Amino acid sequence: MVVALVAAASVSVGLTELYFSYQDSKRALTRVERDKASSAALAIEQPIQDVVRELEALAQPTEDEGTAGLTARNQDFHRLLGRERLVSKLRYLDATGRERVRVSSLEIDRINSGIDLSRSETFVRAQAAERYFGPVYFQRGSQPHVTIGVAEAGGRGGVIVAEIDLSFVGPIIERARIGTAGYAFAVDRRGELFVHRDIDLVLRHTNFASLPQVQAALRAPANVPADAVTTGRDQNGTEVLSAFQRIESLGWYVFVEEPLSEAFAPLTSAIWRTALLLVAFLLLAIATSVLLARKLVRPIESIQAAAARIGSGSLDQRIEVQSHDELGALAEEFNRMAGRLQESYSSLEQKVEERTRELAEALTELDEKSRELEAASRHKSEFLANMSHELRTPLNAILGFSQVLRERLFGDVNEKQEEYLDDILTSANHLLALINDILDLSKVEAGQVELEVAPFSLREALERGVVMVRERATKDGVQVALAANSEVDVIEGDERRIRQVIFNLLSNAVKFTPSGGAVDVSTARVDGEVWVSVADTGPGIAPEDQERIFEEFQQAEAGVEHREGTGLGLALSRRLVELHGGRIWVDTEVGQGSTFVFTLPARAV
Amino acid sequence: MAGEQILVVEDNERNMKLFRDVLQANGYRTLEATTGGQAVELATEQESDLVLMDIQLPDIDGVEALRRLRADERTAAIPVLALTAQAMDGDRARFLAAGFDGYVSKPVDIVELVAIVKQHCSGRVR
Repeated sequence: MVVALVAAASVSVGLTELYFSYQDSKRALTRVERDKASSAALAIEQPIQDVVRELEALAQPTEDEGTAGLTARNQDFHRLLGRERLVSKLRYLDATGRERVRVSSLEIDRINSGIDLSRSETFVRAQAAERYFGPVYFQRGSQPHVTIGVAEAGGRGGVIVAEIDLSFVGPIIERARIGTAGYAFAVDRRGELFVHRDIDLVLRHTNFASLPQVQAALRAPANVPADAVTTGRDQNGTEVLSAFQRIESLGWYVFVEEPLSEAFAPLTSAIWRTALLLVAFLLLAIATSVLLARKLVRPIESIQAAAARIGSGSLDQRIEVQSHDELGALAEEFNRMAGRLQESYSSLEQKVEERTRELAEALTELDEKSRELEAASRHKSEFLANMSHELRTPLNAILGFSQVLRERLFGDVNEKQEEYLDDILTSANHLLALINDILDLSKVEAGQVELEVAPFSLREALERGVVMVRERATKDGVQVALAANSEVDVIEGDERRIRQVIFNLLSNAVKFTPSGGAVDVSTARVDGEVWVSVADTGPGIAPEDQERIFEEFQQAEAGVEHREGTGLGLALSRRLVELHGGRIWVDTEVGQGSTFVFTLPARAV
Repeated sequence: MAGEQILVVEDNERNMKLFRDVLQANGYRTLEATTGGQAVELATEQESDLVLMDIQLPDIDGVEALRRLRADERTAAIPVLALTAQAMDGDRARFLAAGFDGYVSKPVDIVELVAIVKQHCSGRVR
């Protein structure tokens, strides 16, 4: 970017510079050429004008029109010829155009030759315009001459005709050239070349009117500035820088020219120099901008890279920027930030580590506790199994031998003995029931009872329960009735456990109902639950006992009096009902009988 | 009485005495073993019509003894009843699944025991 900017600036400056220096040198060269041309033109014109003045002096009419006058002219002519080396021949033509005096530097004088020159252009034009400059012509093929005619003053009608040797123009033109390949030349008003360093061109009477710069000069009005034409071509077609000066009095033109290649050689070298400088400057600019970019961009890149690395987690990354500018400050700030980030991150990591360790410890502890609990649970269940086993083994002997005696397997027993044997058997059976209930309760409390839930007929379970207590009820004079709701039959639950509950409630009811009383069993569907009620006409339960009876080894007064039951039945029943997600309670009043109700969620079919 | 020989495996002295007396009183002959190993030994040496197998024994337990009896073709066909104080939930099912022909839990009702023994012996005789 910077490089491009610098390059563009340099190139445009270089090009402008080149353009102006081209224009300048062109102008300068042209001026030099024109000056040369002007001075050459002056140098050419001056002597000729001198001659013309001399001729004008001679053109004063003589007092004597006769031979004396002619002789005087002849003498005057000689003097002029001697004075002015340019003049090679002088003639006096009388008013009729006849040659009266002829003086030449090479021929003998002729007086009154009478040669009629009245039709010559010089005579005619000089008579008409007082002064006439003829075209350049060549004597002996190579010597340029011009004929000048000056009309005789005083209206005599005569004309003095002078032939001017233009050999002096050659050196002037030669001096006017510039440079090594430059040259100058002179053409007359028709474009006829009469002085040129290349003599061949002159000898061949070359006309330069076809050259563009010459053509333009010939066509230009006399007062047009000479520098109007600045470039042209030479006879070979080579482009030239050209300037000319018109010699007004003669109608001639002096051209000073130089091939463009040479004229602009210094300019070309200047171009090269400029281009070289430009390139050098460009290189310098590029180098500078690269250095500058490095100085600027490197730190930025470094900061960027470091930021990226920090972003990807290497928080120990720091930026190495040594500069004392804004970048250095930025880097420093950045490093400070990274440092703080690293600090807080490491403290965070530390905290996380700590918490993880704590958590792991807690988990280990929990695991240990859980294992301990598991072991405790296992120990408990093993203990229960062992206790069961160890209690049952002696009971087996007690019950067995008592039964053997009672069944009179080895001989008769008297009445008293039989009564005692019955007592032993009853107590032993009670003990067995206790053992069974304790084991059941323990297992429920240890969470070791898993319900075997399946659809079963609640109605059938109730019928079987009634059948089981009927014998005892009948014996005690208690009526047991089942009024099963037809809506309630198959439900889901652990059949064996539900039967256990039903039997417990029924046997309690029968047990506490005096002779002549009744036990009524009924079912109902209430709010998506199945309700089973066992109502008796027993003594009822005092309010303070109503909750207690569901606790282990807690019996109401009546129960204590009966000395029957383990004191665990209701506690076990409650646990089993609750395991099913149901409730159990009693509605009772002392003297009004009791109604035990348990509910089960009706996952009924 | 048929006089079938019944191998009683029981490590408790008093219970052994009870079973022996009850069985003999009902006309059965008894063989007695107090360990599992002894039971297997006796069963192979002397012909038995029924085995009443306690489970908890000093050496190998009743289940292992049953396995050995079943593994020996001489004793493989003898019916074996589990007669055990292991009477927790699921014990009956466990022992029947182990291959016992019947299960009687302690404390036993001797009337029931005699009935079961009779059932198995007569079944065998037939």
